[in-house]
Amino acid sequence: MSQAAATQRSRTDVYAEWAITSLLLIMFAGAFALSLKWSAQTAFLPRLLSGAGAVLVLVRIGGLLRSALSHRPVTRSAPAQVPAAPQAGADDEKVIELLADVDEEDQGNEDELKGVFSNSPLKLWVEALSWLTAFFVCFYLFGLLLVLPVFTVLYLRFIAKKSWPFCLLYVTGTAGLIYFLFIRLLHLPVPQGVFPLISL
Amino acid sequence: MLDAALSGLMMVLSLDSIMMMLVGIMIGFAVGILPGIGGPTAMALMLPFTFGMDPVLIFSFLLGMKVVCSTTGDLTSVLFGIPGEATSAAVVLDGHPMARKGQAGRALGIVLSSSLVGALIGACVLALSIPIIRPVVMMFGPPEFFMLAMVGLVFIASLSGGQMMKGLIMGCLGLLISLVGIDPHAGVPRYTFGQLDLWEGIGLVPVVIGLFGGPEIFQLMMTKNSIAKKSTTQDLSGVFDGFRDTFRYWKTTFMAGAIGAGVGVVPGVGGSVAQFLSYGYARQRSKNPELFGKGSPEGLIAAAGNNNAKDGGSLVPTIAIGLPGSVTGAILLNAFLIAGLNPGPEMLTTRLDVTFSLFWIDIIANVLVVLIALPLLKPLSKLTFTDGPILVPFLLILVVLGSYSENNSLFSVWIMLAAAAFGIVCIRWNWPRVPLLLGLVLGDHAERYLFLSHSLHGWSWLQRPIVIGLAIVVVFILYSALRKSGAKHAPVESNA
Repeated sequence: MSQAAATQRSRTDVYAEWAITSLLLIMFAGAFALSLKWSAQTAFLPRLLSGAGAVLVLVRIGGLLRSALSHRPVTRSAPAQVPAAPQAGADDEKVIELLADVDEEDQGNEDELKGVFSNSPLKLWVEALSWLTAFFVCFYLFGLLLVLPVFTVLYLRFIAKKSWPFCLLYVTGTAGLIYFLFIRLLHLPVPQGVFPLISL
Repeated sequence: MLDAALSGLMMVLSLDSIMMMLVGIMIGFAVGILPGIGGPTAMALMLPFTFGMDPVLIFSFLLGMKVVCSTTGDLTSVLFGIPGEATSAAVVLDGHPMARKGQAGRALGIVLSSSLVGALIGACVLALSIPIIRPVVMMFGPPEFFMLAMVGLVFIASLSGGQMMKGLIMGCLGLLISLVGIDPHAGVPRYTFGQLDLWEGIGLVPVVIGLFGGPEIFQLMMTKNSIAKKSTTQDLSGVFDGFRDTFRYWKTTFMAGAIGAGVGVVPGVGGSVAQFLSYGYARQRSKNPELFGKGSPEGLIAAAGNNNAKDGGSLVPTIAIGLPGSVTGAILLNAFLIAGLNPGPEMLTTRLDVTFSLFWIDIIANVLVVLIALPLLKPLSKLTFTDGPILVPFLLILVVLGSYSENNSLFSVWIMLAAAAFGIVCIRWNWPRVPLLLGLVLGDHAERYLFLSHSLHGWSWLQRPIVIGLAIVVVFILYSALRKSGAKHAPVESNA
């Protein structure tokens, strides 16, 4: 990664950190303000928690300001923790195994996910968000029974690049499972949507 | 007593009883694998089918179903990062990272074996405490329940992933979110903004599914990779490694079982609390706390080992005083009444054999679940090597149905979506998610029992011996977490 790109990313992180912290402050302050209308008993915990939250956020903002003024990186990410070096003795095997579990390339789920969300190009974000938006809009309008086969076939066909027979088999299996479990066995309703085209 | 125990065993070992248990296990397996539809829902829906059955058959059927639901909820947590039940949320923290490292078999082995050991501990607690439990349970009241919630809350400090300030802010946010809805004391709507859907509060299930499952699905859609990138153990030996882990970390396994059974015995404190108590405590006393959340077998044992233990423990107050310790307990209480049994002294004297049959059902059902699940682990762990885009449609439908099923409302689906978006923001900018969840789980308990304590006892509840004991535990945990945090950050600060 170039120096310019790294600087740009660091700046974005700084802005995001400020935005999140400010939003949290507004939320806590708003929660406190709303609680002023309630009786003392009803408002006791809301005031206590929103007040404590607001104070903590202010302390954090103080830290952000201090960092900004001293031109240090604003967010010090928790450093990747690697277990201490193996010590000679009976625990060697265990420590080596633990070290093998957390190698340099694979620092755990959270860091891996962070890497995906930080480094993915805009195109991937737009593509994933578009599919999700399409899924949930269709789900809201027409219900699960329609969105299940349509979305599944389209997604498997165009993103997973699977054959038509595979798509049909997949849809049949999934729909069969949902039908058997929800409708036949448990008699649970499935989301119908605003304009249900298919209903059972 | 020995006669009653043997008689109970004989009743459970009948062909009818084993068959009913297997039917319950099969239904529970299918239902439990779907996020959101937990054991209590399945049991409640199946309760009408038990009319006219013999008591032991009823319990074989219902307990078999419940046991397997707890375990299968953990399976989806490990494989897809989507908690099957709210009580499986902590399993995601280390179980799913292990699956991503290609160790799904090992993680599933840990889940199965630690659940079994935990269940055995819970069953033993059930059997041993039957004669003495009545006075013990009566010693616990709202003040003690409140202090138990506080014990859980102080683990926010140690579960913040090295970012104490952010963790505390998220904990406050979680607690505040738990207050949304009708105030249980005055009936005043709080933070509902005129939305009727918010009157019942924000459900735990959609938040858990969104916060943990949402980012996982979204990253699968973006990367188009499989969940696991490399396999370290592709065959069933990984499962047996997991079994070995459970016994290698025997202290953690035992502690998880004991916490699960202990919390289960106390009515009104749910499994959602037990898992974080166990996980937080295990992290606190571990020699490698920095590995927690990154695929630590020890963390997974602590999270998975208490779930089934809690089920055994929660039967104790239900049987002994007719006070259900959980939703499952409440449904079983109904089953008692359907079977013509009266919880309380009758169950401890004239129907002691039926009481012991519950103990045996708990053990046998757990063993059967392991035996049935064992051959399924290999194909299940292979799912983590399937291309992401193939899994996406199925996972999306699972999370939608899981959230919707909480109260059959589209609003829960939108809550899940919001939680998923928030989860992505948290991950991208290093805000810990677990403290938020802990606050959400415990906020309701804390408020309810704080006001009940004050209403019943004024401020004198602070002088109760168990309250003082738990307060000392709270101070000790806080001190220990702050000391560890200070020690960890000292070299970092000096380098800055």
